[in-house]
Amino acid sequence: MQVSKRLVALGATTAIIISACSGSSATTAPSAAASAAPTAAATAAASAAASAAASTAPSGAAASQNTNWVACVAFDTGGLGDKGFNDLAKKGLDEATAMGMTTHYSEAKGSTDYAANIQRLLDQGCQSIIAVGFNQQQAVQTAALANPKVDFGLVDSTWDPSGPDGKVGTADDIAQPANFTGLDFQIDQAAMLAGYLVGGWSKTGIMGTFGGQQFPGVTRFMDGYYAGIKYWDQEKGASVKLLGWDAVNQTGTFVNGDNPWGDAAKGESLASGFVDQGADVVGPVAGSTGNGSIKFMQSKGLWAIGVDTDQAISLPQYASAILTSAQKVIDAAVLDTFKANANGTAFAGGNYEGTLANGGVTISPFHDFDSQISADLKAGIDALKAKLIDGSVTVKDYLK
Amino acid sequence: MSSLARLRPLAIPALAVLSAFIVGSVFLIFTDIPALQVLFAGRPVDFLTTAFGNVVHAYVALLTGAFGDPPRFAEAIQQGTPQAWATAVRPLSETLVAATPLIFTGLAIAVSFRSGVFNIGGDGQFVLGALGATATALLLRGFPAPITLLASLVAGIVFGAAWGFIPGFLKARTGAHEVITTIMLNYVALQIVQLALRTDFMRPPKGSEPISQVIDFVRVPALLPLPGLRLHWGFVVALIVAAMVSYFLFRTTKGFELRSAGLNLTAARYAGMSAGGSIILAMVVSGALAGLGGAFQVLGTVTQMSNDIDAGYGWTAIALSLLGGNRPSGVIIAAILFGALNNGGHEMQIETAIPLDLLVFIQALVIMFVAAPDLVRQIYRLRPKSAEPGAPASEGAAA
Amino acid sequence: MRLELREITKQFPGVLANDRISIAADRGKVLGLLGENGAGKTTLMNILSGLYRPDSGEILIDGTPRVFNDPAEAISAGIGMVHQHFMLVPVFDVVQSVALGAEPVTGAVRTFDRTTARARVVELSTQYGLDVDPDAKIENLPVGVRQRVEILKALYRKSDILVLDEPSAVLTPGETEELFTIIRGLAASGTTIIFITHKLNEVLEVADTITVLRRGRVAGTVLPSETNREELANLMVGRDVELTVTRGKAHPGEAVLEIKDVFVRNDRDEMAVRGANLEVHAGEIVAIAGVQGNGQTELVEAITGLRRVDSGHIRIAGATVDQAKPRKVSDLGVAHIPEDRMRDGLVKAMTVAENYILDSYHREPYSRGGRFDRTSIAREAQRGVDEFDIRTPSIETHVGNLSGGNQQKMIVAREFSRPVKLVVAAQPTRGLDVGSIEYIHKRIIEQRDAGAAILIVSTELDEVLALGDRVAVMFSGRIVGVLPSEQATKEAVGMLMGGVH
Repeated sequence: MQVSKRLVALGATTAIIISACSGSSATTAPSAAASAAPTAAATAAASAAASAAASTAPSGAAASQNTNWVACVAFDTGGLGDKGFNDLAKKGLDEATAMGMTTHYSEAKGSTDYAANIQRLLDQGCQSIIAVGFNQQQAVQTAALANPKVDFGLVDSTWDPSGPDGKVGTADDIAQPANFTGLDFQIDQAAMLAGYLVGGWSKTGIMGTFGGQQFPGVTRFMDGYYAGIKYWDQEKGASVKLLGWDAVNQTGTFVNGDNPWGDAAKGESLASGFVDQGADVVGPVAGSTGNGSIKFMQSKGLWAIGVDTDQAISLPQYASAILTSAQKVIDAAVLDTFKANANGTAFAGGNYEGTLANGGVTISPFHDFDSQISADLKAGIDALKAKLIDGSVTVKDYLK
Repeated sequence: MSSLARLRPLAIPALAVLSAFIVGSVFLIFTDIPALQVLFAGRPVDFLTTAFGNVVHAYVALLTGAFGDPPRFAEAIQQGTPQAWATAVRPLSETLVAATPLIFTGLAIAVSFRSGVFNIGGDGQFVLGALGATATALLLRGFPAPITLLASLVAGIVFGAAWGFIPGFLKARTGAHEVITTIMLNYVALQIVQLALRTDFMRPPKGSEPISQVIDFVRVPALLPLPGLRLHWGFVVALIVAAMVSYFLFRTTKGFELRSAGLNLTAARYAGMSAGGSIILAMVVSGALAGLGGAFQVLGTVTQMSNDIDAGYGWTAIALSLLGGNRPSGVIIAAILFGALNNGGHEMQIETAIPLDLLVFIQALVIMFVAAPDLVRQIYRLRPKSAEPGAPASEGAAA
Repeated sequence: MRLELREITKQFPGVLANDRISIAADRGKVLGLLGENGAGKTTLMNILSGLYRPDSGEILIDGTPRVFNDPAEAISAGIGMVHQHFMLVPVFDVVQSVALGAEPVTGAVRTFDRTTARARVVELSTQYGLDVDPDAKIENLPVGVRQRVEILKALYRKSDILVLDEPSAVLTPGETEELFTIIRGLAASGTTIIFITHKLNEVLEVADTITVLRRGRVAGTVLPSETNREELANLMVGRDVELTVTRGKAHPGEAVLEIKDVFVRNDRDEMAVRGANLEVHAGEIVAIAGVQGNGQTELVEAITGLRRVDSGHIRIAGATVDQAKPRKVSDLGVAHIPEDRMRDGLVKAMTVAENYILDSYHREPYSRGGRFDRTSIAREAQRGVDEFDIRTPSIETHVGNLSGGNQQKMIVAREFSRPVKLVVAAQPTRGLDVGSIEYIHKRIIEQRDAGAAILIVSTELDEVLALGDRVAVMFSGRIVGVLPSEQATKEAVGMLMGGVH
């Protein structure tokens, strides 16, 4: 008992030291974050405008697709078999192989492997190298600048322009080079379909959502849910509500604190709060924190919406609570990026933008719920999807 | 003693490595699905040539990936450009890059094992050393780089040493078994890293990911004046530290105390040594070494703190310390061997798509064969060690 | 059965362990095989038991040459071994232990037939007078009884030839006497016995013939009735040996060690020393006699700083050391020869040189500013090796490779390498051969004559009487009597040891 007390005391001491360190730098951090947000938002806007063009480019070129190309993927330490981004990227790579491209891939055991693996792939003669995972950002960006003749991509991330000073918007910023492609996703489109589904599914007419922290990559999901529910309400004259996110004022519920993305207990208590307010579907956008929410909903016999991947597959233990997921189709994104690289076509805005139109985002199959979701509701979702694809409906229209 | 007899201690590890590769090739052959299809199609000769060819291809890739490709060296000599030389030397450089953290953690474990303390917490000490170095570098950003670098390295040592002190102190004072406390402290350390990486202080301004800002403003200088080679002075420091550890263990009174306590604690007590002091000192030195390894990893090799900075170095270190006979020189050789396996393994995967797990498998086999020397002796019909001069049965050399 | 070994030769790389050794033992007779450690006894027995094969020579049983390829063949030929270190499973009971490997079975599924096995064990133990409870667990039995179980094991396998390897090494004097009775009984009922030892008294007492080995050869075969201890010792060592080292009269000076009303607890927190009082003066040897377990171990540990004094006082050269650490005690000029030399006195995996400096490594000239002066260490260690005649290939040899006698010399050399005011020696010659005993006794007396106070603790009465200027007897945690050497007879001391005043 004495031992464990000492351990606790020690852990607490260390935590205090660390938080003290972070406190001392608090003056610089918020300004940096503030400057980052508009940049990212601007990127998103620019690419949204160009998305129509981008989405047609690869398909138009399909007839004369160049397959004499060496396409490569560098996985992160999650590795193959992660049922997530790595496996999906491998699927895209396999499709490239099937098309006739030469392919290679590497796995990483630790962060030391990232730069080394990319170099090995370069030595192997790779012409496109797509890396998986935010931990590889630094390695990919360095390699992209050093090897302008090779195309690089980074899954689910865009170029980080902050230079040696670590801040964006300063003199030493480094602009995105032409041979770098961020694999970005207009996930709000998929999330809008999920929101629409919740509109038709919810028995109480209330959905809850929350994010880990208020970043554009997070609120994009929440915007989508908001828009989808609003579209449902307008179409059906219903009054389904979304708790936890006010898209008009861009305010809502976020975990924040020390551990916004890994606090499953916090996720449970937030979900419990939403349920107390009448919600029967929760859509957490907060990494592992969200897993706690899904677990809670499952224990109550209620439902949740997954994010990023088909979470009914990546979290099979919670599959019975996951209606669907607002999903980034990494395999399609990887394949499309390889194809564009091989044909020498640049994406507008420099980044691949996954949309419903190009199959880069989607809502996951309903799995166990397929038979329980009415044909009318499914038809409604398909109709909305068609409108989002042809541009007659945009997410933005429903954020007012 | 003849020079050949001097090499005798190397025989078992060398044969263990050889055996591991042979067994590994058997697994390669029987997991080679396309080749097996040829076999089941009733063409055993084709199967053997294909499978054997694949094994040779894989091992050649492993070797060239670990030590370099002869044609590239030829090209480098011909062209003489730094770029060509960098390409030729890169595999070797990467092997040493991979070996560097292993030398540090291997030394850490060797010191603890020599002292009779089982430090299973190399991982935790390593990541905290890396974290301490990163935090210090960020804190001192703007100061002259050499000062920041030095302070960050010292911070790595201090963090690692502190994380070693805790289990040492607990064992000396309360008898809490260090195997349990160090394993648990590994988890605590990882959580501390997770926590720290989510603070605004560490995180880059944009994004939600738990990864630190890039700290290449304090980078450890590269060792070779060739473009794009990651091998840095940390490797040289590792060798120097190994020599220092060797000196400490075998030429100083404190080292003597540690070794005595490690080999026979009661005799050490009878001789007037302080058992508790030895335990704490061993753990502090061990933790400091692992922490310095972590600091060099983040300041020299990856320049960014992340939750995957550690590739199981603390665990691998246990194996390679045993492989190296808990001697600093042995640790260096074993670390370079493991570095070569890891590094060559990546090349092998890229060329042949063989999973990295095969390397883990081969490493495990190496350890297994080293741990069972009699097995190796049986296979290769070596004379048992006890049949050496002067040791018939229990009657001593002084008979 | 008659056993004969003819011209047995066994060569190990660099060592001729057995050089044309011939021995013979008749049915129902006891052959004493006497020799120092390293004389080749164990190798010879390993050949007899099938563990080694001889390079040349032959084994004859009742005149027929036999070849043993493995121990099983030796056993089936009727040879039973009782090793110095018992090979018993602690959680088994006696019947299981005896029958293990030769179990009678019963029924279709061939289960262990305990009834038959037990009956046979009981039969054997009555027949040969081996008093053992067949249902007792091994772990609960004293060492002497465990040895009987080993003998029963051999008899159970119908051994006609019984080899006992250093059987008395682990026994108390009383248990040794009982063992001899058993040996005589076994011989009388026709078993041939080979009794391996390095103790002169034992072969004289129990053997019918004695063969002495020295450095791998037979040094002589004699009859007990026609020889004496001195001759045997001479055969063993190859020179005349003083079995009782002559010592001049003591000239006691002032008290160096003062023990006053000392109480000490043992590891189980029981009071092991209960009010001991004793003084040891400069220039005298005080020998503490006593049966093992009467508090001697704890008293020695208290004196040397390894155990705390519960109450009372211990003073060494005027300094109180009740709670002192071992280093402090050692700094006062105390040499300690510990009871269990392998566990407490040496680091086996370290070299002779390293062990030589084990408790003075931090002092000059060995260490300067925390760093070793390897030249001084090598020089001093070599001097110790030469001076104390430690037989070792080099000072870089691991101590674990030395013989028991040389290990003990190693400890004595180390302890006496410093200026010594008090020597505390516990069981200083346990398990050593006569040559080594003589040597160590001489060295201890030298220290006395040089003015050191000496405290010897020994369970060997011969040793206590040979060395003690005064003999103290410890019983039940107290010093129950101190006799000057002229009054210390075996009988007088023996009475005190048994608790009779």
